[in-house]
Amino acid sequence: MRVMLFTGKGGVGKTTLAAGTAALAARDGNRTLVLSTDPAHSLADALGLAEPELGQGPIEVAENLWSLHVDVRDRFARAWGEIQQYLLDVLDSAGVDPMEAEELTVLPGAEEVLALLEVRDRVRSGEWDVVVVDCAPTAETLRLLALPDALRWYMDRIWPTERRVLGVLRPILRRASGVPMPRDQVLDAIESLHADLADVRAILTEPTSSVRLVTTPEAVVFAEARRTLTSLSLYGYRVDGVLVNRIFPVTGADDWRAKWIASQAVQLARIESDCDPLRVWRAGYQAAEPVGPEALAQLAADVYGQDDPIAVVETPEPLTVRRVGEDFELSIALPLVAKGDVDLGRRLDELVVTVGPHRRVLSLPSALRRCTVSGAHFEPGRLLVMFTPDPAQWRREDKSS
Amino acid sequence: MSDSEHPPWWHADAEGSDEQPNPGDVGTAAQEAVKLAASVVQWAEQSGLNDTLRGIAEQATVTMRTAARTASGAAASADVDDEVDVVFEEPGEPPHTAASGEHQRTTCDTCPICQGVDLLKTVSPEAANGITEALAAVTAAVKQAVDGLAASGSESSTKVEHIDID
Repeated sequence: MRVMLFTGKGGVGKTTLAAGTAALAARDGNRTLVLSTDPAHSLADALGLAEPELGQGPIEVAENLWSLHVDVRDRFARAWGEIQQYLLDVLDSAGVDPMEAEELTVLPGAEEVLALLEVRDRVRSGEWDVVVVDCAPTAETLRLLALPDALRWYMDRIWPTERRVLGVLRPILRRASGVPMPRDQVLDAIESLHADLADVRAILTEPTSSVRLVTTPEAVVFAEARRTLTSLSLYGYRVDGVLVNRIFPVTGADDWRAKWIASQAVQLARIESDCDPLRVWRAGYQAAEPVGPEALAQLAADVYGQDDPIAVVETPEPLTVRRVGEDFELSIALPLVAKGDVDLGRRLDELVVTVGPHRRVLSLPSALRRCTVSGAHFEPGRLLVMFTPDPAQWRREDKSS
Repeated sequence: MSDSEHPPWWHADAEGSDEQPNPGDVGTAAQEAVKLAASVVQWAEQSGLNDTLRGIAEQATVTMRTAARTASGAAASADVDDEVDVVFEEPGEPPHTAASGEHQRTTCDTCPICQGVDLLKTVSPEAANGITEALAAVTAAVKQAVDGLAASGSESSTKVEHIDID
């Protein structure tokens, strides 16, 4: 099972290249599903389909190629409905206008998260060889999926106690404060949403899953792609390739186009050197919009050339732990980052890595929990953290086990 | 020596005295509730859980206050509201000798237990019984919460320790 995610700034041709890759994979004999988690996607248009009906399930577009329009409303009701209703009750008791309350309880990015739950279900069903996901621009949601990791300590240690306390206090607090207390169903819904998100993240960070960035050879667009590459690596996603779209043909250029060609050449060289060792594929500016599975597959065939479109390109592991003598070395891939932008901290069983505006709370593997941090070192593209076993902690664990 | 010069009995440990409360001050059930809460405070302070407990105790005070307001009904509500105003007074006056309006106060303005006691003096015995139940539940829940935290290891500190990168 191969999961491929495509992301990039709006308007760079992300949907076209995602659908093209899917169409090519299908043409090569893989049972392929393509779907979009972008609420404003145009997948159906790219595939030349009529507006699909909601709740219709996967539609066969060509041999081996299926497209799915995710019905987010239904998912929303199932995953978030119970929690939302509770929040509405609380806001109502606080005297908030029902219309305003409704708006306040809609989670930002919820639609995309729920669409990713659909991806999870489809991947887990085992029906598909390849699942291609057209993600929303800048992959904000993928970063949102790091939330379960950040909340893990809380959910494992504090949440069960809090639930028990709430169980005891519910009637009193309800009577005393006048604020409705969440019922068990609400708490169950929070727990299952947390578990679902963790599961989605587990699928998307498997070695057979990777993200491909789509950009154009323009400084502003590539700057965004660079930031996405850094933050996705920080959060543990494997980015294995960059697709550079809308490259002007070099021949027969007039003055105006010649300037663009020169500017694109500079950016292309920069993309190649910045993204090394990622694979960089180039897609020429098409004379006409590629619409429909055949045109899309042909475009993708031109882009990937001799390469297998679905093979995971070998890139440095986003996160590794290796033994160095008695010590452990934890390595986090951080491409395109300067040392000064990285901040590191430890809190109990967690490592807190901050890069610019992004922070990842990393739940340490069990062996490292019983170690003290003996040093940290930054080298281009990678942060290395050294852990030395803490004799006191190892002894205590041995005794208790 | 008048009562006003002495710290309340639940401050006894801090002041080195173990004077017992005057039974006439509050109703028996309410008094028991306060004792219970005081012992929880003491026990939690010993367990190094001051901040957590302060939060919970403050929450309990708010709960108690609201419960008292509800239970004492409309007739007494004006009286209770007066006292509630006192609770939110700026803590400018020296503790344990605070005088408010016509009353000679024997409690401080800041600690949640004193606030609770001030409040209990104004409520009916029925309401006080309800409050006792509430406090007993709070106490049980707090104990459970603290036990849960203690069981999860020595992780009472959640401070991020900065690591230098070379």
